[in-house]
Amino acid sequence: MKKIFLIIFIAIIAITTYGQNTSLVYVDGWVDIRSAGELFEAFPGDSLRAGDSVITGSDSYAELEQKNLSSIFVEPDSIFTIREMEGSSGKETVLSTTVGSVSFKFGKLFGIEPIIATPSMVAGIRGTELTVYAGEDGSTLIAVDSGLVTVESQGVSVDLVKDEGVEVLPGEVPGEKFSLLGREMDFASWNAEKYESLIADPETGLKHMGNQLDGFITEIVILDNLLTELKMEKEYIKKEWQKILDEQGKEQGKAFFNKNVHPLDLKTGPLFLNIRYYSLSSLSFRRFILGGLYLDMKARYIMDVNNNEYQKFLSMYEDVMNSFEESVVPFLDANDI
Amino acid sequence: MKKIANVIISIVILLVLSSCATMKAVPKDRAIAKFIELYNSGDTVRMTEMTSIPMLIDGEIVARNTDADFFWNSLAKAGFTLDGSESFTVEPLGANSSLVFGDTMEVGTFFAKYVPETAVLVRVKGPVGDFILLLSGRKGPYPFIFGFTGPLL
Repeated sequence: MKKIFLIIFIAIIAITTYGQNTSLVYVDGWVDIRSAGELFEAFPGDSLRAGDSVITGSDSYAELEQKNLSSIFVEPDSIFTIREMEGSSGKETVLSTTVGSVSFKFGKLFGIEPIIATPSMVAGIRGTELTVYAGEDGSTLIAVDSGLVTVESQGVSVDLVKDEGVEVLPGEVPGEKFSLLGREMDFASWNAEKYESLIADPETGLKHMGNQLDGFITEIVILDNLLTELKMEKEYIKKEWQKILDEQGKEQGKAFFNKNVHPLDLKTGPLFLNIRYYSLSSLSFRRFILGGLYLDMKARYIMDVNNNEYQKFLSMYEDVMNSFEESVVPFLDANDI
Repeated sequence: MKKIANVIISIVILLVLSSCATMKAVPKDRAIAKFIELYNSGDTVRMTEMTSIPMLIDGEIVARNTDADFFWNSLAKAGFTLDGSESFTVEPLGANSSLVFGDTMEVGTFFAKYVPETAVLVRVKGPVGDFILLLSGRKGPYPFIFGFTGPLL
């Protein structure tokens, strides 16, 4: 009996502290940590909390460990962020790769493993070693070395096992899975190929990116509507509560509060957390994927600013940014910038 | 003898101070001209060194050195240069300076959070119109760049 309690206790500790126990164990070259809106140089031993990012440069690399059960390898030119969201089984850690290449080696943790995310997909994992490639065009490539990975995008899921991989384009469902056997995976070549395609047809690329951003915005709108409904319900219930307090006294009021008001409060927190999750995911996507394309196009056409193709791109970009400004920015604050 | 020693110490101190980097110094015309000269030299490695990260390009916040480096390299590859005849104009920061880059929450926050009060807006001619450089501080002979936008309409 004692043993069962001990196992449950350890499991609870592990679940609640998963995201808070990530530390840098190795740094090669200059690596930054972005925490609470500030940029710091990273050193081995630094701890990361939910919301923190590790940013490697073109010649730097970082290794992270989570409670000695999982290892995370952040390759050069990558942005890796630890986030949290409310899932079906409570608060879940999301290990997000915005751009670059990140490999994961997960230890078993009572069946609780974090979610893996990129701008274009989320993946559930079980006892897994995998590498995530997040391209500068917003695409993702997942390569599984062991275990099981379920990749989900735009409501469609694909299961991957050892030596299988799949590519997901921004705003699209996962592609056909493929075998990794006899195939050398090279992020730099894959990323360069994806980016060349993007630049060859920036309008189509921007359209896909716009769809991806719309996906995040849809989630934000749904959650915000639920939150508004909840607030209205709470206002109504609070009036009822006041009436009971006035007419039936403190004891009845307390019972009513515990039964009707408190459960509404408990529902509000997870909604806020998930709105923040999707808002911050949108911001990362806007900053590093959309922003990267904008800078490239600006430089390419800076000597020919009236070029029709460029002007068309700018007009489409403005539409995407207007959506971002209208639907995402209200949920961001100065610390996020 | 003591006088010579004092002079040498003063020179050493001045040399050390002049090589120190500070983000909070109002750039003088000479430093601005040197910066434009640096940009036109195509030394993108030094340009990236003189870029304060995060940096603003139009309404875009550049949060990585890699991206700033990519941008300066791409501009150099495109053959984009600035007028080096020192005919630029300099304006101190005002309440509406951020609007030159964009009227968004991100741009407003960037100015409030990352741009020192000592920054100036430098308007300089480019091949296709006027451009704005947001400069402040100093490292050696050059100011740091915090923002770049243009051509102005």
